[in-house]
Amino acid sequence: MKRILVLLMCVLITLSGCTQNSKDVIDHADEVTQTEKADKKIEGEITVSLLDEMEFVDIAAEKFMDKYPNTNINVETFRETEFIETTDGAVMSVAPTEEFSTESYLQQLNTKIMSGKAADVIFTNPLPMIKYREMGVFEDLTDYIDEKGIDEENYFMNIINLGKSEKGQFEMPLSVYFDIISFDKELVDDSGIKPNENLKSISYSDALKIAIDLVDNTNRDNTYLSIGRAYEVAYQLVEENLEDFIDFDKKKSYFDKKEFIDILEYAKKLDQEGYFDKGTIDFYNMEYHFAYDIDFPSQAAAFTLYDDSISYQSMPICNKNGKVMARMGSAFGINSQSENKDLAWEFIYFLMSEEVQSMPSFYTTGINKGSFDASAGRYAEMMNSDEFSFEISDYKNLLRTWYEQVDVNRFADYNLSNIIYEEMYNYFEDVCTAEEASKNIQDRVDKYFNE
Amino acid sequence: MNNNNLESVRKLRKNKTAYLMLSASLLGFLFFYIIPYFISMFYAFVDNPLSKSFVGLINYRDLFNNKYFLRGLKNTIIFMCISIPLNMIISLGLAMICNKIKVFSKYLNLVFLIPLAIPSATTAFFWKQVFSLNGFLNKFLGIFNFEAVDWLNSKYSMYIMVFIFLWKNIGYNMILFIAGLNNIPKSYYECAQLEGASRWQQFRIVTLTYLVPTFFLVFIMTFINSFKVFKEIYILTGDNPHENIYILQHFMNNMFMSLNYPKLVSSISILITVIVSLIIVMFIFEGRVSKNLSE
Amino acid sequence: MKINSKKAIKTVLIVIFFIATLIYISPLIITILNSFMTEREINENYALIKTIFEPDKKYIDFKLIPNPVSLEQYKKLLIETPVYLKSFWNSVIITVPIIIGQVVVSALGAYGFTVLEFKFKRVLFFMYIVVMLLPLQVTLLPNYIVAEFLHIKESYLAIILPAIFNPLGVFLLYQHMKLVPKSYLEAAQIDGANHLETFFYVVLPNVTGGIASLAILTFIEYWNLIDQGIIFITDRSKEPLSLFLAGMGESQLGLSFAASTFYATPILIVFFYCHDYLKIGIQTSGLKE
Repeated sequence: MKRILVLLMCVLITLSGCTQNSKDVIDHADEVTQTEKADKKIEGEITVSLLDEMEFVDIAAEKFMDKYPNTNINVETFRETEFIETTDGAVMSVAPTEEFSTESYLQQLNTKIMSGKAADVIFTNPLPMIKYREMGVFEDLTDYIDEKGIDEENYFMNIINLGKSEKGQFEMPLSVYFDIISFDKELVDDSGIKPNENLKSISYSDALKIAIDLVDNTNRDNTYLSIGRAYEVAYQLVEENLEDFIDFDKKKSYFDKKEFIDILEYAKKLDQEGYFDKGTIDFYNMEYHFAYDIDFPSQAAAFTLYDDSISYQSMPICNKNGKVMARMGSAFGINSQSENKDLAWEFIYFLMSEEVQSMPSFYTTGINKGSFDASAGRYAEMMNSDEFSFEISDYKNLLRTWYEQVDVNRFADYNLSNIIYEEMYNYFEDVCTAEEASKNIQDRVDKYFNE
Repeated sequence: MNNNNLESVRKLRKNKTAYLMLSASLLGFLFFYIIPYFISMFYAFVDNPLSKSFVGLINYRDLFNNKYFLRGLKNTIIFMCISIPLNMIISLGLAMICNKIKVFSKYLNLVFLIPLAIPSATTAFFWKQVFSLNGFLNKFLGIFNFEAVDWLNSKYSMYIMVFIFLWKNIGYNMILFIAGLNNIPKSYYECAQLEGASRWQQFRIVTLTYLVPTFFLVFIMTFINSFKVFKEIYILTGDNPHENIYILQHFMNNMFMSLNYPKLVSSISILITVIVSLIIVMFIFEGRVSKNLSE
Repeated sequence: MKINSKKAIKTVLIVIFFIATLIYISPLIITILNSFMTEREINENYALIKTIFEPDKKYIDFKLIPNPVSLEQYKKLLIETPVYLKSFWNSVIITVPIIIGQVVVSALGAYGFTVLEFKFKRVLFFMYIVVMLLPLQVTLLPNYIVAEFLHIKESYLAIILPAIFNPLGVFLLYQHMKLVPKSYLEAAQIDGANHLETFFYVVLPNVTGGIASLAILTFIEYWNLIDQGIIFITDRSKEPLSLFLAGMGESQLGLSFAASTFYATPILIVFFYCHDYLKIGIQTSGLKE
């Protein structure tokens, strides 16, 4: 009888703890610097595995440990940058090459995962998630998310959903990367060619068409499509049409299609017809124009808002279906073999909090809506100067609009992107023909899926 | 019956030290080799290194339907069939020469040992400079107006791999052969010579017979070393080499990076089964010859 | 006719040797010579940048003579990168115990196999061989699991212990000890020697060649270790030299040339020291007591 009563009490306490926590989340607006009441029993020890040093994780771990004294968060960073100053003042890095250390990290991590001794929280960006998801390395976070009542009110759910896959949500992104494209205003004014004013986002192929028209119909010196090169055009077009080339479900690839070769040859034709600069521009002394420019949101917003801005109609890039594509920024997952998943989740939840995401060391604007103003404001201050200035509130609003447009996950497996990029590079450097490149990519992607 | 038991107990007591000596090696071997062997064999029969659910022989069946595994297996077997005999013959010849000449033998052996002294990264760098499209070999062939070829990505890549393997490992076998050759008492040669045997017959009757244990040793070591050539090839050509040099180790390495340890283990166990059957045959043969030798 | 063809064969052989030697030593010579080049010269030779001076630079130059000769790389290596010296020392700390341990343990074990006859001897010996065949990629994960179980996974022991018990040693020395004539052993027994004494005074001196070859080969294998280091060594200051070099890559060519030169030296020294012992076979002259 006594035991049952004690058990009931524990259950009640935990239940009340849960509700208490969600109430705290809703009231967060007043508690930017106050510590939350630790209602649930938060204790134990977890390890966090990072590839590179991430300052905000270290600081967050310390704050977490201050908040919850019975916890211990070990942050393990694999690659530490070591610099030595030589006698003649040059700074030399003694670290191994990036390739080698990333590979070593993966080997170590894999061994630990397979022996069941890996860290509890793992930084997922360098990992080939397609394979890891298959093997069930990470824990499904869906229930945790529901439990905490994470919703649109406080978080950019559209960004959080980028971490979802068919079988569940295995990664929690803390930030996001996407592209903003803009056109050269001077060229637009000259030719009158411009995108539809009502567009909120534009697909790359549409933007490319406009850019080509701009270059064709204006007479200024040194006008090129963009600062990039031909293979970037090809890559963007391939990415836009990725479902035609890869069927992720059936694990089949279709790169030896005519459509793919067409894209390659089209990009090369553009290159040969002089749409791209071949290193002749002297950036400081010549007038030059790039019909379109792709930039990341924080910077693009500033450039758009400057008084004499030449960025015309900056907007996010979307896919053919009008959905803005984005990639997860720093993302973390919980090891499915962890013995302390709850604590691991608490830490990740803390990383998502306003407190952490408004820290200067977090740099970017993250998924937490509360911290948005603080971090966007910080960046705006940095970009604001006497010469070039804009209204900070305009900046925040513009950036926020863009953030809310994020919709679908961009193609996010580095191994696959590297394969495509490498072989395309070979084609554009004339090492192989388009047919050979498409066959190589086809073989390699097939191998990647079916080995 | 009693007598036999007493015999064996006496023998045991007499040989106690010897058993202790053997166990010095045996215990460590058990811990660091036998147990890991069984652990890895266990994984061959599960589907997932994390959930460890037993699936029997499914991994093996899947492997034979996997064209990459088959390609890797084929290339590995071809590579071994060419390079292992070549290596053994050349290194034996060199070891014999090394034995005969008194003066420069140390330096001769040293020359062939140099490849093992240089780190893999440096040798890989060096061979890249020689065999790449802009490399030394093409420069040299350019003099004769041959067209430049990216050797590592061509159909000749297997020969390059054999060459690199031989370059690196002949020295290793030379050491084993020199030690083995020197175990053959000179008196046997003198005997044979007295009985009128020619150089070739001496070689066949004396040398080859007494080298059988060493042959066995060298064969196994060459097999083990042929796995290590993967390191250089990997640095040279990465995860996705030309299909002719895609060997089993590439498959295994990629499996490891996809956390598919079960496939890794089952794939190597297939190759090892083949080799082990070969070794059993050699083992029996060697056993018979050895019995004759020590008498 | 006979003399001529002999001479001809000899000349052909010498030519072949000359070419072979060139192929064999060239990497080392180039590494050593290049280590005396300045950074700029190395970049000129190996980078394929199409400069305006050499618009057709298609091939890589293998320059042999540095111009100018400079100790720049060595200065960088020894004085400005103390971590290099530490890693050299780490390599020594790992390799020396392995060699000593391997020789001792394997000699004892091989002796046991030689003199004892028990029921499962052939099977056991066979196991020694089969297990040895597993390549590193397979054994690393189980080794990690075992090391974790023994709580040594963070120290050098996780590398040293498996290396000491490597079956190669037993296998090699057994093949040598087998050839020691049984008469020697019996003679020792008759004279009342126990196993340890027989081991030290009769068997060991006759397998000097085997021991020397084992020492050299073990040294080579573990001086060059990379994969075990990646998995077991987490602290960068404890990295052995081989691992340090593996990470250098093409961005630091000059440094890696100098480092490789140093790296190769101990092996060559060990080899020089041990080579003569290789040639000591089984003593046929009389019995030692």
